[in-house]
Amino acid sequence: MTNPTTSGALRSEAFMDCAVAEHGDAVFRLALNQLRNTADAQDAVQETFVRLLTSEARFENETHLRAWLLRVAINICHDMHKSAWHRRVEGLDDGPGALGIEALSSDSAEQDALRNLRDHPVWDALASLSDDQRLLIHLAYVEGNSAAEIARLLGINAATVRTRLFRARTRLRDALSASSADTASDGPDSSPSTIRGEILPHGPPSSETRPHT
Amino acid sequence: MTTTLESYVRCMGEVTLTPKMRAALQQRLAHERAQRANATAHVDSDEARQQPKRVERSVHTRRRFLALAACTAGVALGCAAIGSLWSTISSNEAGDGAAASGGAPEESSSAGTLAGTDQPAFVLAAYADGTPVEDRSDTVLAGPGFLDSVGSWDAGPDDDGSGMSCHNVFNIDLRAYGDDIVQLDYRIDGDESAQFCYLGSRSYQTPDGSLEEMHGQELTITQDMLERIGTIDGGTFSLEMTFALPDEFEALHEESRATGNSDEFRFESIAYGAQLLAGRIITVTASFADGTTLTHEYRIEPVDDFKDALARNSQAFSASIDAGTTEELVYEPLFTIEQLS
Repeated sequence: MTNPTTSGALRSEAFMDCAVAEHGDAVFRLALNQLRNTADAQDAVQETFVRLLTSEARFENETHLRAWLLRVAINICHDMHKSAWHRRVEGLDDGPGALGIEALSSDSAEQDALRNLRDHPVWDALASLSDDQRLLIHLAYVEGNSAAEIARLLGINAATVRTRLFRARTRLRDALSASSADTASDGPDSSPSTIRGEILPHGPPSSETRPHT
Repeated sequence: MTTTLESYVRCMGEVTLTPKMRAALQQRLAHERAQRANATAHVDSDEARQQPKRVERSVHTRRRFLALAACTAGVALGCAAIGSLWSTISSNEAGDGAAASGGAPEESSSAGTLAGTDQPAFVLAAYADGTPVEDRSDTVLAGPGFLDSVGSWDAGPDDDGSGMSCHNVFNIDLRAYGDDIVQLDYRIDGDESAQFCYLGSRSYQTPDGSLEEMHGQELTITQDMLERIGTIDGGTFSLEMTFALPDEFEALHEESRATGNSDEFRFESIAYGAQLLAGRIITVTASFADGTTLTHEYRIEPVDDFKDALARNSQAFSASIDAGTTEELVYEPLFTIEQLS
């Protein structure tokens, strides 16, 4: 882990290349989860890494760096939500199926992945959650953080995380159920409905079982 | 049994930055490095270093006024900036220009008189801020930011083995000085090897919701467009070049592969591309709030020692980064601009 050694110095290209390679995708996914639009998410990724470039923070290891990047990305997403720009385009871009992948010019595995995400019922259901609830779901299940890790990241205590996560899961389950009901009422040719009760595990995965992204 | 959430987690886990997003991120970081280098230099410079810079800036400011006056009979002082491509000539700068140029009070006064007229005016900032070329009254060494650095470059054999090609992207300052401008239209003549583009993280979204690529031999910038792009973007306007390389570049390419040093291949291929820009004309049309339009044509030419100057700029950039950005980063102009009309 290379850290800047003099005040005002920018981090080396090698450090930045490594950080982008190791954590760029995770920052993008978090930003996408929060902002729900690829262009906005890309903006947030750029801002996050620009702050890393100029930051004098010192990192103990890759885990520390990743946590720092996610924390900064969360703040940037929060600021973008408050901005006039985002308030103006939110109505256009945040509808079901929007995601902004049309902005990508060519077919690719990355675009396929975005399409799959857009078409996933949980993606739509997450739209009905608050930003904070959506963030908790992402940090717990996509990032695979424990409640204690999320607590450290967000600066709240672990018990609060568990409580809020429980509410978030409940709301997500309700949203999925409502979505299932809507889908079923569309007629016999509609897609199979999501079955309530098989949706969620009962807490964040443990560190032993977390998915590596 | 796979739950819906596990399926979603797997789906989200497959989402990654696209190559285009990564390239944009790298370019943004390189841009930030350059910006920080310049900013740090301005803050850290001592008084002895500031003095000549102030004179230089004053000369540029004075030239800006003269260029505006030459463009049209109507010049407005204290122009209002209405977007990132519309720049202000502040009253402070006007003062600097007057102080720096001896006879400038008369020139400034002259401009002030012209400001009383209603005729709109504008000038390409890179032309106004340029350094006059001796014995060529309408030609300048382009001002900072106008085709004096290359944001990205790649070159080598084509995939089908039919030859070699090069792709490089010059940063280009497309700002214009003027008052009450609501739209700027740019066009570069010649073949499609050179195209304007906007390298940012979002495409321009038109009022009807469709997405529009800002890329081509013609480019239109409106205030509305700038607002829609947003302010966080940090994107840059560029001149993108894509062209075939002659066979003699194969030896340079092989050498670069053998030695692991691509500098010579890079500089030679970019210099070759620059020659393809020689004599090209950039037409800029400004539309003003009162409904009138004004067009200027600018012919660009690479400087005589283009390749060497490019190498020096590249070395200066690397050195500024290695030195912790404490040295002022000033690129040498790589092109001249001649105002034709």
